[in-house]
Order: sequence, then structure tokens, then C-alpha cells
Amino acid sequence: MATYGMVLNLDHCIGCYTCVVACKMFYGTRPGVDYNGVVPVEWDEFPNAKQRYQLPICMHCIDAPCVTVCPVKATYTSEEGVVLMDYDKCIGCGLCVTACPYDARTLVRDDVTNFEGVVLPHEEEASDRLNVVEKCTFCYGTVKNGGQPMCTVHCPGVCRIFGDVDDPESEISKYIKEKNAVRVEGTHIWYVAPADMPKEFLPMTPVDAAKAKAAK
Amino acid sequence: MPKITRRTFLKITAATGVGASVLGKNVLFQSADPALAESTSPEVVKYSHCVQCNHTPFCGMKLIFKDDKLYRIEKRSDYNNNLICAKGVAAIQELYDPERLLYPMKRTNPKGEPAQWERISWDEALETIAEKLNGVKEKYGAEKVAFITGDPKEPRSALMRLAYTVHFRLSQLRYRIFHLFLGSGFKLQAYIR
Repeated sequence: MATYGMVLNLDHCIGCYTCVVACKMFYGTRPGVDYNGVVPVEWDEFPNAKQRYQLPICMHCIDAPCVTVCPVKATYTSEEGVVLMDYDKCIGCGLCVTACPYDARTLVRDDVTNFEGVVLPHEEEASDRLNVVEKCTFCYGTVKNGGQPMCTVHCPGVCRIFGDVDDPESEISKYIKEKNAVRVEGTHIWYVAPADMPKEFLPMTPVDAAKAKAAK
Repeated sequence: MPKITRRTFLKITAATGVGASVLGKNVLFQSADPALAESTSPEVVKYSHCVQCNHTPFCGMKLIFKDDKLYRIEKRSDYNNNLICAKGVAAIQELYDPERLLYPMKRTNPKGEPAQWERISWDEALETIAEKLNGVKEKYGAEKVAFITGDPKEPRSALMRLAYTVHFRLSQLRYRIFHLFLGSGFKLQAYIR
């Protein structure tokens, strides 16, 4: 049985947003609906000021709060550990959006496309969907057909490694070993970070992230 | 028979229970590509390079068409420049931008006022441009014409060809300066003196 995971190498990220745009173009998501993101963070003072990028994405929690709260079982965890959506079941109540500790879900409320009144070829599927919650799927359909997630394919800095973490011979397993990647407990995300990056900017466990969200 | 799209098909099968057990939970992920998933026409893959920035890196592009519509751009593997950036991935938005300029437009009122434009034919546009350029060339000499493009850099190559046409030898000389400007990050000034 395969278990999918992703390594985020924050040391390599140059903040070019290709992951975000590749994802948006692949899924044709509406304005304001992003499955992943890039957040610049800064620390220390001049002349030692540092800047790096956080890469918020659905962490595909092992015991995902969004799956627990969904009243119609529209969101579920696949056998590979990927948290997926069934848009036909979703009633758009937004409970999962509130429950998600990482704010990785978006409720699509507005019937807008990137150009007003025009649906571009890549937006045709997404423009059908309204009042449903959308999220990162680890590009499940593509991965099942032997591909890679779009953010991983297009990242110019090779920050993202995706694959089957159960297979010790897979690229991701070797990468985790070689780079001593840290697993975010309770999720399917690993990360490699610069040594001096403050702890509050590193990816958090679902429990810590929920606390941080509640404190906001 | 009314047109049954993939989505309505799913709704019908979900309502009747037919097919749901066959397709299983992952009904939404049967196709690798979410857009145009219901179209049955074959995908056509073509290859090109990106022209979104400086026309210098020539990053490879894999273009995926369906129903004669470009709906996916991916990076081109097995190519020298096989990386592609956010601009390249998003090139569909430029191609199908509803406000993209598709025809020659002629200004109908003098400069200084809010611009008004009318569409003219390609023949009229080419004739007007040739007439005015040749007029300057005959009256003042070819080296008095400046060719400048700003930040939308797509017209650069066309402009260089135009500069060659107006005065081949001088423009060739300036071509080196053109590359110097590119290297130092200046806006393009492909010009003949």
C-alpha cells in the first residue's frame, strides 16, 4: 500500500510562485481560490536580516479535522492518506473551512472567473462548481496515472519532492534520508529548513496550528 | 437526445445508484486533467518555447490542445531549458485575454485628448507605416528613425525585422547595442540612431 507524502525544502525556495500559478492553471481555480501559497517571512535586523518563504499547502492530516466535521461525508481520506473532496456531495456549509487548522480550504462563493464574463479553456471544469469547498488534492488523478503534482513538476528550485513514502527505494524516501527531512507530526508533509529559520515560521503540527489559529 | 455532460452523468448515476459502485469513491478523479475532462476528442500535444519574458532564455513549452483550444501548458522535458516559470505556465491567460489586441487600430483624434481608435485593415496599416517610414527616410535619412518598444516585449523581434528593412547596415550595427541593453536590464531600444 502506497502512502503519499511531500517534502517541502524551504532552503531551496526562491519565492517565485510557480507552484501557485501552476496549480491555479491546472485546476482553473477562480480568483481568490488557491490550493497552495507562498508567504514571505523575515527575521533578524539589518545588516543580518533574512528572508525566506513559507509554503502553505493542505498538510493531508492523518486524523483530519475536516473529515471529522463534514456532516455529509463529502470530504474523506483516500487509502493513500490523501484528503479529498467529493464536490457532488458537498453542501457548502463551510464547517471544514473553520475546522482546518491550516486554512487550506476555500469555500467557493462567488461566480467569478479571472476575466470578467469569459471562461478560458482551462477554467471550464472549475467554473461549473459553486458553493462547494475546494482544496489541494495532491493532484490525485494525475498521481494515480503515474504523474506528479503540478507544483512538484514545475518548481524551478526543486523544493518539492513527492512520492510513496512507504517504498524505501522511492525518490522521496531517499531524499528524506539524505536531507534529514523532518516530518510534521500527524500529517503527510516533511520539510527541510535553513538552520537559522525561527521555529514559529516552520510548518506546525495540526494541534499547534489549531492553537495558533484560535489565538488569532 | 439531450447532451449529457460528464457532470450531469455523475449526478444521474449518483441519484439512481447505477454505476456508483463501479466508479467508486474517486469518480471526480477518473481523468488526469480536471479541465475539459468531459470532452472525448483526443489531446494534441505540440512543442514550442516560451516568449513571455526577454526572448532570451527560450524555455521549452509543452502545449496540450483539445478541441483546438490550448488548455494546458507544461514544461518541456528532454529540452535544454526545461524549466518554466509562473509567467510561462500562465501564458494561456495572455493568449485568450478578451482585451488582447488582435487587429490594427488607428487613432482617430489628435494626441493630447483621450484616445479614440478605429479598426483598420492590415493592408491599410502596412501601407500607412511604409509610407511614413519611407517619407522620413527620403527626407531626413534612414538613421533618423528610432525603433523603441517598452515593457510588453513581444514586438521586439518584429521590430528588429522592421529596422532591418528600413536600413539593413545601420540596424545590424545597432543590434549589438540591443543585446547590451538586454544584458544590463534596460528597456529595449532597438533603434537606428
